[in-house]
Amino acid sequence: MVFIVSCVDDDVPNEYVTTFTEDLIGQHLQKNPEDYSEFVKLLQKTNVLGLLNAYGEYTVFAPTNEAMFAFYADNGKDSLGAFPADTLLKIAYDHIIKDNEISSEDFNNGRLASMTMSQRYISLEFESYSNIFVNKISKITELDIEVHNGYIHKINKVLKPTDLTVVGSLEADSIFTIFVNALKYTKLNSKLMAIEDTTYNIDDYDYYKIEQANGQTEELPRYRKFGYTILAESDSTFKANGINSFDDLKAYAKSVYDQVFPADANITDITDPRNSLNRFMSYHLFDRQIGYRKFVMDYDATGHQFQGQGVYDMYECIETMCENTIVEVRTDKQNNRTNLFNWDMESNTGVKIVSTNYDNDGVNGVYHEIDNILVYDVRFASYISGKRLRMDAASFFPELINNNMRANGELHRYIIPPGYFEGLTFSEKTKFTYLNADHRYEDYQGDEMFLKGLYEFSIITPPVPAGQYEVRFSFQPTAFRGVAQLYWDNLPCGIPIDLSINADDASIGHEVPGSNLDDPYGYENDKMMRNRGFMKGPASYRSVDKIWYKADNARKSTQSIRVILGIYEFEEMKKHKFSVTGYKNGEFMLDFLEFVPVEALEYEDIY
Amino acid sequence: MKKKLMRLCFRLTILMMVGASVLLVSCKDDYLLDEQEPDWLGASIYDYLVNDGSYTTYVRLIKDAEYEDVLAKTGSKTLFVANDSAFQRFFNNNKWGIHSYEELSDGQKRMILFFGMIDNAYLIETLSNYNYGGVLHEGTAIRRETSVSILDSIPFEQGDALPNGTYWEPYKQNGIYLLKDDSRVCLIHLLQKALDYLTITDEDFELITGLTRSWNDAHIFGNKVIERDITCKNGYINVLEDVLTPPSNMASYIQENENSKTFANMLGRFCAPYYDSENTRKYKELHPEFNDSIYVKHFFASRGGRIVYPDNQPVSSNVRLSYDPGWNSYQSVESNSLIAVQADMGAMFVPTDDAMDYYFNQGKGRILKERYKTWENVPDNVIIKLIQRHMRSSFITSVPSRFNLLVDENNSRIPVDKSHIVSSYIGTNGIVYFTSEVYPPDDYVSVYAPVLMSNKTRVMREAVEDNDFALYINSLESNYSFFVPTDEFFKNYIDPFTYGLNKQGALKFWYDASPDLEIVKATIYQYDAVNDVIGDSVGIVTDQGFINNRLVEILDAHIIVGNVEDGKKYYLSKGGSLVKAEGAGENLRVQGSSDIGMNKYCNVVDSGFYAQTNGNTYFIDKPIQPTEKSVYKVLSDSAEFSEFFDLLYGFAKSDTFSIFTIPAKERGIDENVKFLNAYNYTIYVPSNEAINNAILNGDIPSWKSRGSVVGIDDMTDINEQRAAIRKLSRILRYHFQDNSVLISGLPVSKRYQTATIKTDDSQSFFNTYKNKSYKIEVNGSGDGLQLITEDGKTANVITNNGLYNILTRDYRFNKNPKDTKDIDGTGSGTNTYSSSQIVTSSIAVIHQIDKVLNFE
Repeated sequence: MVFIVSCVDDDVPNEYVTTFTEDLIGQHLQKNPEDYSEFVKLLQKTNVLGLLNAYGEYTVFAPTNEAMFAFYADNGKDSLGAFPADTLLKIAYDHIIKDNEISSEDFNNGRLASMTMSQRYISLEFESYSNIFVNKISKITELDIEVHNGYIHKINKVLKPTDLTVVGSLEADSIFTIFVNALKYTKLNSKLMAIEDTTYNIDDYDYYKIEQANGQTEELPRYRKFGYTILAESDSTFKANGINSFDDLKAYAKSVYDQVFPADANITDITDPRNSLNRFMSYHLFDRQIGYRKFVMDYDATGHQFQGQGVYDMYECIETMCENTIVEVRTDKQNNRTNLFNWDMESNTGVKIVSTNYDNDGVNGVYHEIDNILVYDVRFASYISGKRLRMDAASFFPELINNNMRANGELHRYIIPPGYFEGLTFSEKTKFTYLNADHRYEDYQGDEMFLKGLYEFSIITPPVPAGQYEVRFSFQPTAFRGVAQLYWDNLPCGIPIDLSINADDASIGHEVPGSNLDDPYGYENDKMMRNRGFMKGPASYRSVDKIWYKADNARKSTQSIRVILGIYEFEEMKKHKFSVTGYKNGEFMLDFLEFVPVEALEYEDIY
Repeated sequence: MKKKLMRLCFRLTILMMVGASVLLVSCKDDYLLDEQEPDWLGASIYDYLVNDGSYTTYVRLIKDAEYEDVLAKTGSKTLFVANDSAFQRFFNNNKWGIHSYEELSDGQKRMILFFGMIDNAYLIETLSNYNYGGVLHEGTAIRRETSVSILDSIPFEQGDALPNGTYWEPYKQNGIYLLKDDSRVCLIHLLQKALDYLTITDEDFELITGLTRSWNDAHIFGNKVIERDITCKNGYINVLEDVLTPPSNMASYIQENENSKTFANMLGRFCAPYYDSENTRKYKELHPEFNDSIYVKHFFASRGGRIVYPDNQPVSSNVRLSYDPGWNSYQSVESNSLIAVQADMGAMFVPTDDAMDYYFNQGKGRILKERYKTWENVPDNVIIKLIQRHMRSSFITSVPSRFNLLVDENNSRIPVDKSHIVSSYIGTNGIVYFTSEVYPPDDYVSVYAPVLMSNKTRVMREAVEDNDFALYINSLESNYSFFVPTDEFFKNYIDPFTYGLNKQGALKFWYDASPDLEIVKATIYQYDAVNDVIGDSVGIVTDQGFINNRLVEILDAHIIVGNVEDGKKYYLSKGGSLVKAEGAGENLRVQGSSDIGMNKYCNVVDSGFYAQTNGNTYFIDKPIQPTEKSVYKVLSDSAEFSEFFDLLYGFAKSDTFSIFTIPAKERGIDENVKFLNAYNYTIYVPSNEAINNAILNGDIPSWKSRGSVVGIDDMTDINEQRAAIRKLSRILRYHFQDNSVLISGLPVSKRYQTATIKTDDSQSFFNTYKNKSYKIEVNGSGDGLQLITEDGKTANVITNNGLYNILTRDYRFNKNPKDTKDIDGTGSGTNTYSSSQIVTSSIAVIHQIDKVLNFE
């Protein structure tokens, strides 16, 4: 008699598979007491050592005994035991990155993609592999100690991220007195204080069915943090521009912003968001924590965007805390430059981050020094309202970057709970997910918003300048997609679209450029597609590994489509609502939205 | 990264090795059981039941079925049994009207026995687990197939109990041996583990079964397990509170229920008896005296049902249910794939007869009654939309705690409330909720409803259904005005493509109801455009690509987003063409841009005004006819516009500054304005006098020399000439404005973009940015328009000679009309007329003005 019931609960725990001979991180540290005995004590006292002696993926910045002793002395203590237990745990966590093995191969100037176990970023500055500093203060004295469960980097000073908010950090920096005063007087500093949404509890969303797809398991965000960024001119930069005092700054702001917003010229209350000084200051502030690499560099470096001189640059439009304004951050591949803010290529002027003073940490944000005056002036307002704005869907939601979900170097499928994104609403039946940059996708910046089943959601876009715009929606069709009705500002955009139809279907008419000798570049085909309400994908990116999307670039791909939603008149610069209702079971994805002033249509490029 | 990949591969290898070893170990354990009997095993199932003494009735069932040996010596089985006292209660009150064991038929005995018997041994704890496609699913099962054979009992249905319909007629007289389904019968188990996993609450359970439950209770349907997991050598016994008899499947129960006859009759239209030769043969082997035929009732359905009628004719997709509600082994779907039987079951919301009567006679369903008089008269393709809205693919997503999430297959909310549930019934393949409300589909309340339900709008119905417009106009979030030429008047549509041919043509669309066709066709008539006379027919187009292309064009022109009774005169249709409306309700009349020029009106016919949930529907007596006249045509034909046209037309076609173009592909009727998109525009045409003055004043270049002014053609300095061409082009483009602004009796005051882009940072009147379009401010009180330009000057639309509000349309076609044969097949073109398609168009309104506009 054989019962079949006994088999169903069998499982093989990974931890029993002990076949490797390399040391684990904890073991390595313990075997080298001459370097790490104090750090090991810290790990033991905080019960973290066991973690580092388990399988997993870790990166540890391990301070030497000398560094530990110096740290005790700096804090007026004589030993580890003199610190409170919760402080010790934080110190331990400040040195450990979990779930990611980061060797020097992955090092760049700026913040590492993964955060420490204390949910802080680690920032690197290096000129060569023998001269790398962590968080500006601690030198790596031995790199890439490779052990079974990750990497150890030996450092000569204990890492101690600040406990100050980003405003506090900026205030403590003596080179920004004019900026700090203006921040205080406009009371904008009070808008930069939130740290974490403590009402968010991951357990509240355990009703979601967690699914697996394409090798990833869906996951809910573990927390919901707020974050801020300040771009600040130093006193010397102000002075170089004739601004020597707070009053000078006030006058300067008035001279700039009264031109752009003449109707508000008489508002003298500097705490009023419409006041010129308030606008000047709030234009330097962002409701998201943007490290040096997160303005544009990391999105440009997913492998999807073509690199090298002469190829198309990447532009990222970021909403500022000055209502209905954006900054543009761009690359300049021709001249091997990046992080150019509101740059005027004709005059080669604009704003850059000072190369020696960036990624200055606060518990809720980061500040960077900039080398020139950043303004939303007539020149920039004119420029930004006359060009194509391509906005990756992820750029709409500051929560993605505040919680390190965008371009974090790993593949993730995040379920976005209701209310998690301020700019997103969806029906109770909808499961809205964000798939971050994946080398297999033929997505702009590699990432996408993804839904399936029957869904209904609305997204609030960043502000778009006034004007007459052609609005486009970009996606990749596959056989699994469904049918959806799209709405722009609550009005339906034509009949529902079938997202399963490839671009070479007769109703869309895509011809791969180069395949028709009469139209070698596909320009005539472009016109035909436009007549039908579609466009090819841009030629500036592709799928990295071409497993699922095999075209050389999105323009040549029959699985990359831009749908022209219509021409819309935007009477003022403001945000808009993009809504989607799934009408038939199937998948939906959103890669990016494009806003093209009709003036730019005649001469638009293929990138 | 490389290290990570290598490590991953290595770990996977090790895992596979360990996994394989575990499987081997597992098999070894099983083998041991063949060698020796574990001490903890008790008696066999049969011996246990006999020895206990409380199951004498159940043991009689086993003996009568000659199943003693099976339950004594083989296995594994899981049994759900009832004790003698439960049987005593059963004989006192049961649905079969049986009072004693002796009165049970053999078939009934076998049903009781085998319906409570499951192959394989399951603890209550593990009953919620199942394997499907090689994957173990833990804690999620709610159903199991039982051991009941469909041949245990072949019901004979009297003729008067059969549904109505062609395929049932032959059996109405004498009845029929009819299986309600031929797939395996399932039992439903509601167990703690699955209820937890599927987040089905105790309140849900109570609403579904009418019973209250305590933690870890186990129920088979609504029958509580009072003693569980009695371990026997060959399986498990579970004792139920009451005798378990097979419930009906959903379809059968709806038909049996006295309070759902109306819905049952509707459902009955979509089923037929299918002869079952295999089961007839098998049954005859078991019962040689049987000399009749066995049929199976199947519903016409895409999933689990039949897609051909008994005579093998295909069932049209628009009269197929999404699934067969009588399908015992019902399988739900996820991501377009069937999922395991165990994982889910169906659900149906069935309005009671009272609810249906109220809905039909007094509620929102009166539109049906007014149209069809009785439920029986409502056509299948209409009634099926109501049924489908009440059929749910998943029980799990349809439990009461999730009523607030219910949407239909088109993602439209179904407003079910717990208070609507009158009673419920758990069938073998799903749950039936009897409701006090009807949940009509959007098709019944939207602007589409009058079209769907009318027998006069077959062409428009096909146009909507064949071109995926139903979802669009059924959207209750939007508001529409929907104009519908009835079938009688779906004619005299002047095909704009034919204006590019030598012979113009008009189309009459009609529905060919032939059973093997059921399509819309179009008859082509000659059309005398000069005298506006429709001539003889010259052919019929059946090409559905052509038909649907023109029908979409017509749909685009006949749907207006918004209400045309809101006081404005002109409205933009979905396709961008202008429609003029006046009046209201049944007295409304509308004109397309061509109708305006010809003083024709589209009037509401047959009292065909319908105020619907998302707008108004108007049945009209002719198609709304947009104009075929292009900007080029209007300007080139009018002597009053000759100066402006000459300036526009003087550019070489290849010049980047040119205005008109003849596209290499997808040409229009004649020439197109190069920079117009699929949008609406206004063109301000200065009078000949105004242009002449501007040329003589040196405000605007001209091609020919005039007076002392040297024309572009006479310039000798190439740079000077190019500069003049550029200047001329930019000034001319400044007369083209985004958005159509008409003199409509309503005030206007707004700035619009033009087609000229500002190229410098100089200050303009409207502070226009560099690289943005120069603007024009348009003001008017309703009877005229004044323009303010970027140079701070003004101009006025001339209204005393009728040269305003002239509507134009620039088409683009897939085929060049010049290369296309005429409507009657004559001519030298290589393309056939029926291969032509309208691809896109832009519209513009032209006004004559008294001055040349300038921006600097």
